[in-house]
Amino acid sequence: MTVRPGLSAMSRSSWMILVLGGVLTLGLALRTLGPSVVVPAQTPLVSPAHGGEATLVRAAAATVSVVSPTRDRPSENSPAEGSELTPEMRGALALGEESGEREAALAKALQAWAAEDVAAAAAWTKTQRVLPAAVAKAAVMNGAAQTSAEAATTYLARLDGEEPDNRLEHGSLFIHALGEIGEYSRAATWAMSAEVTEVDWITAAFDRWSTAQPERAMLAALAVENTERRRAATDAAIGAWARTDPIALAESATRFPSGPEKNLAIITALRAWAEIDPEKASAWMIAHREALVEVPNLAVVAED
Amino acid sequence: MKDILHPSASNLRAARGFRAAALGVALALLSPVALLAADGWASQGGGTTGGAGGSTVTVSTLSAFQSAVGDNTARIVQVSGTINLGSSSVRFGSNKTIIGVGANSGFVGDLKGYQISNVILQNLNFSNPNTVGDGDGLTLQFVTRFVVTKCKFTQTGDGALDMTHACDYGTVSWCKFQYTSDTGHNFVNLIGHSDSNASEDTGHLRITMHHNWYSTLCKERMPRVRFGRVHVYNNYYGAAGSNYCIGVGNDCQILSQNCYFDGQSTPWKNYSASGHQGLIRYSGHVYVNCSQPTWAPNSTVFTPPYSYTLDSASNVKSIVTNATSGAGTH
Repeated sequence: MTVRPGLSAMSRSSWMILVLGGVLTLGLALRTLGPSVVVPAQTPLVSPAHGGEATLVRAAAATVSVVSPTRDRPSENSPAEGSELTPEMRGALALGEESGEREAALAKALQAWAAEDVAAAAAWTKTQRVLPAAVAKAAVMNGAAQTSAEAATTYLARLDGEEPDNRLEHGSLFIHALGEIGEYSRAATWAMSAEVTEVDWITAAFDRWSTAQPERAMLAALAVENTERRRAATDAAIGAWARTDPIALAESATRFPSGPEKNLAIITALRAWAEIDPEKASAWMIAHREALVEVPNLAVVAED
Repeated sequence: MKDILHPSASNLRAARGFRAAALGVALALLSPVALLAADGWASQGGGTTGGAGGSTVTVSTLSAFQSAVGDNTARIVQVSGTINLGSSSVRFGSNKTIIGVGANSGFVGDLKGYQISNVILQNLNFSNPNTVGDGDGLTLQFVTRFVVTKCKFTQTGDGALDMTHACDYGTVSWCKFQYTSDTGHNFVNLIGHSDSNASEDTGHLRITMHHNWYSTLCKERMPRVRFGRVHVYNNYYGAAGSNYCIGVGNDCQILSQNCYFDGQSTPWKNYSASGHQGLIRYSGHVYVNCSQPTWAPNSTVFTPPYSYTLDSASNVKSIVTNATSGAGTH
């Protein structure tokens, strides 16, 4: 595999420092405990891992490889005994782990199965020993959402009931799944209105929404009444917009009302833009220098 | 009789559990401070003991704190409550264990270690919302043999915890990093600050980062590495909307194992300049609603010279985010 280094940090920094210097001269004020494996030092060993499986851990000079029949997850014995597996599931299970494709194929097949029969797929995840539990739950949640948002909601309730300590994880899976079916507003509303909400949920919901519909997400974020939640929502919306279309964000941000959201949007957009095209980002900064005077911490744009 | 001569694994575990519990009780009676044994890279180069063997002093004001940490004498400094460090960085000396009392002790401002060695910082809250001093919560420069564990970093203006200028033999574990707002600079852990600092950093920046929780609004540098030999394992990457997690910079080697990447757009990103490609090795990670980057070959990197325990990646989220025993809990 060929490594394709990204834009040289020096190159970008040089451009941005040059422009920032120019901006400065123009008078801009820059204000600046579960299953585990013990790895001994420099020693090959075979250690019994939790659950009784044998895990070969070889720490050779200059090379470390962790090899086990199931890497860090429970071992496969007789997968899905008694289950009525779909042909796709059987095909995925038949793949050798060494192929490196089984996990992805299984997750895809499990998601498809959940889209057909959430209950059966969910039941299988409780007994299976081939997929990491988190990956399996994500696949079923995504499959349930393909059926309907209500089905995903039902699966969320089931997960929370079975594993109340993992509700943070389940909420994140739910938000992602709703995003997969385009229910961005619903996900954001749920994240905001959850009885015991998590800031991470708000961030996840608006990040995903803004990735797909940045202007709508931004408007919705700005309309949130609760100050802390509005901040989380706007921060997430700006971040996602900058990743997907920094130029559009920069242009839009100049029309934002003055305030921290505008400043953050401009800085975030210019940083992202400078990564892909420092010359044009620099030119834009010069062209909009008067509007940028009031943006604090602009110097951060020159960092990688 | 057979069980005594050939104890079963469960009996051995029970015996070890009893011994550990008994030792724990004894240690608690001997000292109010639970002293830790340094792991990871901090166990190397002579090991890290902090203020072990020194006297214990409890402080609750800036002046008392500076008096307690200003020299290089071995000392255990218990911080009670939140100390405002003022408008510039506050430095501390070598051979110190600085440990927070309870869940609400720590610092507002920038605490800085500079040209020191053998320090442990534990159970502390850090924040620096006004970007005073170096702008970090904790700044380490030219610091060797250090442990930062069970600390929580919230809303720091520059890095949360930056380790630069030839820092070496360090371990950062069980820490939670989070922000309350995005400043455009929510960059968490910088290891090596400049591509042009090879002469200073090459051969140093050996740091282990494990069981850390990168949480709300962490955007980048979890960590971002230049030149170092950095071991990253069992971290939980739960920062929705991050730009990237691990930055692979000039001439570094990163060994990453059994982390849990939760909906992260870019688990690792290339920041290497031409001719100075950094290397990353990856194994055992779990990717939930995200995927393994394809740009980097799974390279051969350094072998850690110390023993360590890998948790299953699938369990890392529940372990690290546990409300009573997870990262950032005190």
